[in-house]
Amino acid sequence: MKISSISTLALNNGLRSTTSSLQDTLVRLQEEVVTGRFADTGLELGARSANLKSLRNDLARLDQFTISQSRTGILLEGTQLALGQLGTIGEDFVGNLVPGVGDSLQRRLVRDAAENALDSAILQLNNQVDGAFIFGGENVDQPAMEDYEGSALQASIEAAFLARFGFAISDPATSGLDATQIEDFLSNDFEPLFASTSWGGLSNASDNAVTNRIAEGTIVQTGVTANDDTIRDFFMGTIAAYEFYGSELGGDALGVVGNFSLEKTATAINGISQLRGEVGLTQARIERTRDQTEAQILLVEGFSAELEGVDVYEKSAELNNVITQIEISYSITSRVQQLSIMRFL
Amino acid sequence: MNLTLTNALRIAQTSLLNTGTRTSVLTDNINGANDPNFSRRDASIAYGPNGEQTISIRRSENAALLEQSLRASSAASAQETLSSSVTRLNRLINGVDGEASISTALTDLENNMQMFAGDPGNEMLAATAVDSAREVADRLATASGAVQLFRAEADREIEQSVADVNSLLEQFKQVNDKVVIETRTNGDPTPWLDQRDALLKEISEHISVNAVTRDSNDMVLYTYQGVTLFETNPRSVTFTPTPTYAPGKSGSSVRIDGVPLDAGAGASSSAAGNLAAWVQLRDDIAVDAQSQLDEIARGLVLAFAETDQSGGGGPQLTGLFDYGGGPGMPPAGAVYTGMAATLSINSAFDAGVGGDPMLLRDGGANGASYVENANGEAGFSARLLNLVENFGANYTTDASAGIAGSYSVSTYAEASLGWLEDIRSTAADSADRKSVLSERLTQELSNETGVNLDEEMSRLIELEQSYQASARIIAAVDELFNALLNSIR
Amino acid sequence: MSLFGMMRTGVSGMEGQAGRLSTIADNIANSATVGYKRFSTLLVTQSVNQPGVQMHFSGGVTAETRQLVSQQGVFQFTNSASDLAVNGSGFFVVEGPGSSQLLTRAGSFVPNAEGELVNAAGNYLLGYSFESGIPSPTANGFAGLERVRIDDNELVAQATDQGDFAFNLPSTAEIITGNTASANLSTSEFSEKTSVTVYDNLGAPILLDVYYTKTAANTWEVTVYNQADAAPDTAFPYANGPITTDTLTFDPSDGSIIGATPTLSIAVPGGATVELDMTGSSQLAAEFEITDIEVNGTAPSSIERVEFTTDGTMLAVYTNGTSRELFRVPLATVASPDNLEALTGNTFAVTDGSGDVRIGFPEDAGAGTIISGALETSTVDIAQELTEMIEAQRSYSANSKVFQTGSELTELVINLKR
Repeated sequence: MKISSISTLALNNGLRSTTSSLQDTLVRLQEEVVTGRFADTGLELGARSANLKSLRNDLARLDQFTISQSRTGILLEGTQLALGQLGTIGEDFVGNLVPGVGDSLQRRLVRDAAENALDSAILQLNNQVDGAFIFGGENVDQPAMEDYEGSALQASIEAAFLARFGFAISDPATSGLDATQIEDFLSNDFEPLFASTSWGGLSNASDNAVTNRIAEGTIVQTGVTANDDTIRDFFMGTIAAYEFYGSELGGDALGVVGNFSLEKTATAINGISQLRGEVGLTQARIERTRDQTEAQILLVEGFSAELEGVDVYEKSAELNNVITQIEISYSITSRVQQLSIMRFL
Repeated sequence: MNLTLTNALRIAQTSLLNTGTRTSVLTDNINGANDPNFSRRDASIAYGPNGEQTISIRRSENAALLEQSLRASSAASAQETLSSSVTRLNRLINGVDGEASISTALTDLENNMQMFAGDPGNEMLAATAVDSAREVADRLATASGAVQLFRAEADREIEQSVADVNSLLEQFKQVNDKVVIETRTNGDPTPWLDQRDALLKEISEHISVNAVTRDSNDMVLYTYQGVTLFETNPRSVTFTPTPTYAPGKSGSSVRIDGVPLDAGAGASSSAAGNLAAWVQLRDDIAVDAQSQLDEIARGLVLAFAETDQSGGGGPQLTGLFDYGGGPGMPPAGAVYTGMAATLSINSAFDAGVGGDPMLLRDGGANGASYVENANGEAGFSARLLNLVENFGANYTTDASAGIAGSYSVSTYAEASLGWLEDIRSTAADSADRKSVLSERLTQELSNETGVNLDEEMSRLIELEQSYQASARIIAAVDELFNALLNSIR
Repeated sequence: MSLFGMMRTGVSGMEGQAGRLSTIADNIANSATVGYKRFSTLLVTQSVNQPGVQMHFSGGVTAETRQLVSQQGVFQFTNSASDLAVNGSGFFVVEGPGSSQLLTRAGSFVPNAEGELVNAAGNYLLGYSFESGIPSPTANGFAGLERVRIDDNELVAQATDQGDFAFNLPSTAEIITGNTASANLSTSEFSEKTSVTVYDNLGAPILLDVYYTKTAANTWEVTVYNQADAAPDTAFPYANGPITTDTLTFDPSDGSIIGATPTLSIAVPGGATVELDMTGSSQLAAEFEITDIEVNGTAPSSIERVEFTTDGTMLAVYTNGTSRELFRVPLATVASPDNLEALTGNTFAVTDGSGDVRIGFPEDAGAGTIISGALETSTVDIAQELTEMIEAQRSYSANSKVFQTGSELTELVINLKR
């Protein structure tokens, strides 16, 4: 007959294994209370670890997007400023442009204004933001514009003039040219030079504007390339004024040039404000995307905290319980060990 | 029976002898109080019609509980092995807390590509992107190598376990023979029974055991598969070790009595005994993990592939990532075994060996027809943006690698991590449950068959009293005889 | 009615008490002799009275000694398996001096140099040998009995020739459509497999691989190979073809084997043909399981020890755990055991009074059982003997007083003549 149903071995071992498992729990809880996360997320989450990893990757990706967005924002800001400047330059130039003036002083003033506009515009277009030439399109690694003086474009213009009239622009013989001849030259020889590849004689820019990925699946054009029609118009206006106001052209003929220059520059100024509007739209879009991304980051952080985070209050309460349990277990162990018939025999 | 003084004396004598035997049984019990394999013995006395008292020693047994306990310990041992090994495998592939995972490296690569795409003219960023791609390739190759090492390790564990089982079965034969002899000759088989139960417990840690007792306490052992493990003689458990593993190489199976051992299945494994768990780790889990690495590698090769731009209809060829079978593309939709191990950075991109990281932006690692940035523009970002988008583009993955569904290379890497963590978590949970059950049953068995010192001590007091009483009878009879003899003068 | 008669009566009384005292002396001397049966002395009156004569003539008494052979002694337990005691009325048959067959209850047998079991008195235990089959006792004679011998040097082996083999085959198993196990090809497939240890003629263990192949619904092929022929690792193909192959058909209604007693005949290489009885085998929707496997046969092994069972069978227990019957010790009974003639060495001889000897086996009717590891102690109770001794002594004294009184009266009568 069996009097009792517990063996001494089970009695002693039972306490031992309980205590050691409690100690394991203690270590785990300590870490969880300190870090506020599961001690071993993989163990706790299992298959949902993929979600956690995905969220963490998303977070890294979103962080990357915010970097991308702010860089794009800076580039666009630069573009916006430069375009603004360009517009002002154009307006200043237009203000100084008096068509059909015969006075040589006034001519020089106009020419100087054109030269000034040309130089300032090239300076603006060669603006560099974060190491990139913002008007270079995809050709970000070299200045968008050459200096006009001595450029291939200037050579082409001079060559075209020489070919048509048999003498150079600087030749006094230009005074013999009438309005019709100049008009013909401007529309049939001069203007096409800006459309063709010879525009490349002045511009190093790529036709393709730089694009940037600012969010998942969102690719935006960042900035304006110097090859934009507006920019070409601008240069057509200023270069025409620059070249012919320094020549010996007669009053009528110069009037044609002045009108041409005025018309082109005005178009350009219009175009520039349109471009600025477009850039502004992109900027606004980036701003919106950035807000969205930030919201997303918060959301993702929330999700991942929900996945891997622990309730610190709950855990510390649990920790206290475990400590109490271990203390109880210790005291029971010592009391059980006192509980032996040997003490009473 | 004659009721005489002489008989009284003899009975008292027998009683003294029995008390001696019972005391020695009790001493055995006290001795074995802390031996988990000791079963307490009971000395029971049968009284015959002629005053004979025969003592029979009964060992407390509970066959049903023992079998349950063996089953539980088999399962717990297998699960414990699975759980700790999967944790190890996870650490080998993903590092602690997934920090060294392929997925992390992939995200780094993606981010660096994104950064590069935002500033395509920046050579530094190109070099950084290629560097992080190298990191991805290295991690894949390292992880693949680690998986193979893990398999080799599992193989060695199997070899060790098989050797243990064989030697345990040899010992089992010796002890079983003793039990049978002692039982047949009405001897005392109890110490041998203890040993046999202990051996049974040890064997059950390695392999599932179904013990059937025949005549004369003879035991026959079967595995749960019904394969004979021991019947009169031990059956041989054979295994040919494979010292080195390469992807796709399969290890040899453990054969018990010529029948291959079934591997365990599932994260809460069906394996009983760590042999089946090791086989499962080696042939199932590690192989799946390897296939997933290969699938990630394939996804990368696909995502970075170059397409013929010349209109000449040339084939798609490997781009940034190259592999053993490059530059052609691996067959679609199927695991290309061993791909992760051979994954590397195409040397055309590697500035260290004269390559140009900028090919990442321009394309053309496979010749002029593959150049996308025809004008060589520094800000050309179309290809880079495509590549970045490709991280999220789904490709046809092979469900045989253990993950079914539609994935992009990033999500596949995440899913692969989740797959392993899932196994780990399920296995650990299950290991906890199974070992608690096993512990419970061991405790119950111990309560059922073990020794309680207090009880033994109180029995000892009983025996002391019984001894004293017998001695008193002898003294009394002696006095009676004295009285009788004194009357003869 | 005479004084002399009285004196004679006193003398006969003294003689009677002397006889009692001598048996008491014997009893006390043998109070610790194994198998000793106490003697008791009964006094019987001797009357000389004549019918019709109105006088009483003193007669006398004669001592009649009886041995209470049928009285059961108390058992004393020992550690020797060859110490035997009879619980019941039977006797061991022993061979006394001069090859005489005697009966005894003294079972303290020990093997002598030849391994023959001899008791303390030097008598050999007799029994029937199993050498020529299962013995049956010769009912009323000692024929066929021989000395029980334990030959320690003997190595024995027994070829397996029969066994029980029951199993459950899983009814849910898939049907094998390719090459079955009996084809013995490397492509052979099987559903389940087990193996059995059998012994050949020389006692060498042979492992038989038993394959079960489900060939159709409720139809299984059983094929047996010698495991020694197996190809490494894959087993198939075996160097030699199957030893036997058989087809089992199961009843789909209850899963039992269809047909007469299912037996699997296996011609063990170098051994006997084993008849495996598959009764109890089934095909149910349960796991493959061997429910019973018992085969006879032993590997060569020496005797570990000798064991007697209660039915008198002497088993040799071999080191491999198997046992073999060597002898069977019979018990002899007689109609009146108390009338047996007691001889030296605690033996008894059959007399006319005891009736003829009947030889039977222990546990048979009336003979009792044999207890191994015990001795039957003497039936003498010292207290009783001492009490009787005191009584006899007093009685003797009283008788001597009778004689003395007679003698004194006679003297008185003789003195009358003076």
